[in-house]
Amino acid sequence: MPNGYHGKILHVNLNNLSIEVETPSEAFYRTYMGGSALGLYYLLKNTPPNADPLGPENTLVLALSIVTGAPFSGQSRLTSVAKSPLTGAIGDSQAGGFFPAELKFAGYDAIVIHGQASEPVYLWINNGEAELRPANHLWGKNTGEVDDILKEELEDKNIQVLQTGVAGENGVRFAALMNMANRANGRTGMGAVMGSKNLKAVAVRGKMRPTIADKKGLNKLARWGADEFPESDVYGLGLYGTAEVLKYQNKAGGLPTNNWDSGAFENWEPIDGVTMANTILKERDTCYACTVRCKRVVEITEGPIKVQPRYGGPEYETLSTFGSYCGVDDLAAISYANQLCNMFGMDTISCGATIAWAMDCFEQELISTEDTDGIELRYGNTEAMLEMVEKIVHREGFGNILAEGSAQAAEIIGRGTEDLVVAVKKMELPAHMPQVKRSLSLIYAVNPFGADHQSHEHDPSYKDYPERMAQIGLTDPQPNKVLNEEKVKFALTTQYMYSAMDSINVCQFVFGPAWQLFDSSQLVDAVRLVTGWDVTIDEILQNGQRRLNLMRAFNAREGIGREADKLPKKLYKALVGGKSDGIVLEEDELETAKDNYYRLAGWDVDSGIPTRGTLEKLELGWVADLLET
Amino acid sequence: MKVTAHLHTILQRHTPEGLKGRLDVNIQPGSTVEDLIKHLEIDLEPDYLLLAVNGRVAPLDQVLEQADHVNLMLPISGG
Ligand code: SF4
Repeated sequence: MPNGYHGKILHVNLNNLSIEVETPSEAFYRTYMGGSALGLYYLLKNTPPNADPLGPENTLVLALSIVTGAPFSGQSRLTSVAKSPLTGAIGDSQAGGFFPAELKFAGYDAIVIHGQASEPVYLWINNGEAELRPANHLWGKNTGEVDDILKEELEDKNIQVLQTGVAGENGVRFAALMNMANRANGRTGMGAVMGSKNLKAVAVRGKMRPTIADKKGLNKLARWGADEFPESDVYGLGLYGTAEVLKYQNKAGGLPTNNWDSGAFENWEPIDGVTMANTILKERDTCYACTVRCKRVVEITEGPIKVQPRYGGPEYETLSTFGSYCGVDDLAAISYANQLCNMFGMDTISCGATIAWAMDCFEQELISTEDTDGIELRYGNTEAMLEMVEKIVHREGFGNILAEGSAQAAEIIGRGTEDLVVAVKKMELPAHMPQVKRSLSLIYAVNPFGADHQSHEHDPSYKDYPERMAQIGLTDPQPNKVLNEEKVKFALTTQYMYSAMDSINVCQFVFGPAWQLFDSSQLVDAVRLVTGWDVTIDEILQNGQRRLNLMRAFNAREGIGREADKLPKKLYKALVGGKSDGIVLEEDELETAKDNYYRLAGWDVDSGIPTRGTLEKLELGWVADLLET
Repeated sequence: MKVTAHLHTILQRHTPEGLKGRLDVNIQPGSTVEDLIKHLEIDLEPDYLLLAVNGRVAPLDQVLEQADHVNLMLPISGG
């Protein structure tokens, strides 16, 4: 019997509604470990190049890891992988909550979803038994309703539900997968993929807990985390949520404002995490077994906008994209936008950022009320913003264009609106600015699934956490605003670490190479204690490298390489106002950094594609073969 | 009056025994969180810090009491 995992992968073929169980070897689990790397294995094996992301050939993998469900903080994470309908490149997204652990207890390590059903169905997994059931009665319902109906229908209020919302049904290209109606696999449009398959939901329940190799040792590690938490650097994250950084970002000139024209938002205070904690915060919520409790639950019962606690509360990213990106300083309106996204299943980053882009186009008179169904889509127009969110969900009028995401919407509209898009590989930028944390410019550009802020460690950590950085071989701290060779090494090495964390599926607030509760060596300990494997930090980093190469190889097969690794034009324009006033990125600096990065990664410098030699070193010879056919 | 300060990240003190985050501090009765920050000679505007008293969100002008635990933090750099 394996420790930590079941050794069982569930394959669901929606073309003929059949279900099969695969039992891969221990060597397979040790090589891929779970999450993103495991998902990429099945995606590359099952989906041919140039498949329609919203067609039957796309494969959607919902993957746990070898440690999911074990009793320690930060392990209840689910990775979803498929070809992205937003970007056409690899799609990859993580979420926490209680669903991931419960899926493990239901008896499986991952679900691989093939094909497309002719009618809506849902998947019910109960203690190892899996069946597909009709879901016509769930179609068109919001996430809270679906959650309630399934709990009643299956006669168990403790089941956990993962679902696509109405936005996913309607093929909104940045639709999310939702669990608990408030946790999102948000980025890269995985909800649209599930919707296109006519798979409305996955409901899970079980008591099949895998054994733990060293239970005592794991308890000790978990207890250390709980004891250390009040002294740790994630203590503030627990109290204030991710929104704790908003004020700080603004002070540093790093809070994207008015579609990235500026890094300073004059009216930041009403939308800050401290304000939220002192006003509308009802309680803190958590993921299965996590001591940090960083999740927000907000409630508004008075005034014109009401917000329900079951849809959670806004993260820093959401406060920025619906707030400063759109010039909106109304916390109630942002919380309501967050509720709409969770109710209908949409990524709050892409949704808010796409509306901010449309506002920019409107302000610059590239579009008018003739395009926007008569709506004055200006910065700070709160009602217009909320109206657009609903129009996007239902693909109504101008919302039908915005539902494509800003990059594809700009291609449809033309008229110079393309120059205002703030996206990489067609995915909108999250709310951390490369102008003030320079390694982000490189990682935003080269990251295979588009600009992402959780794919490596941010610059300030290199000098603030020297002892922890040394654990992964980084011993030469650099200032925030440089992008030299050492910074490239920092970016790539921490990207391997974050990649491994997305395969071992641990929360990047709980484990990581810097400010997180547990450090890199404790991640090694956790994997050892759960599985009994004698892993080392080098093996963990190599797992991360493997995942990054798999993603890059997937993109190569789609014809996506170095030329797609570029930043939007807007980032080469000087910022206006605040501490970052006048700062502008240099294209040459990025190109030189890219050369160094590809070389260090073992990829061809001209094409940015992994070489056969590099793939073979990572036991990915089969991927090199795929690239050559 | 004695309170305990918990200093996070770069606010921690270098001591011969290594980095120290937890300090017992004697301050005047009636002191606020801001007074404590001044007393500790922290080289940052008080406004830059995230605060908590006894595990709860707190403002700079909160008056401290005997045996209070005060967390002085900087926000994380990702997330
Ligand atoms: S830190 Fe927050 S997101 Fe991460 S596992 Fe804990 S509660 Fe969930």
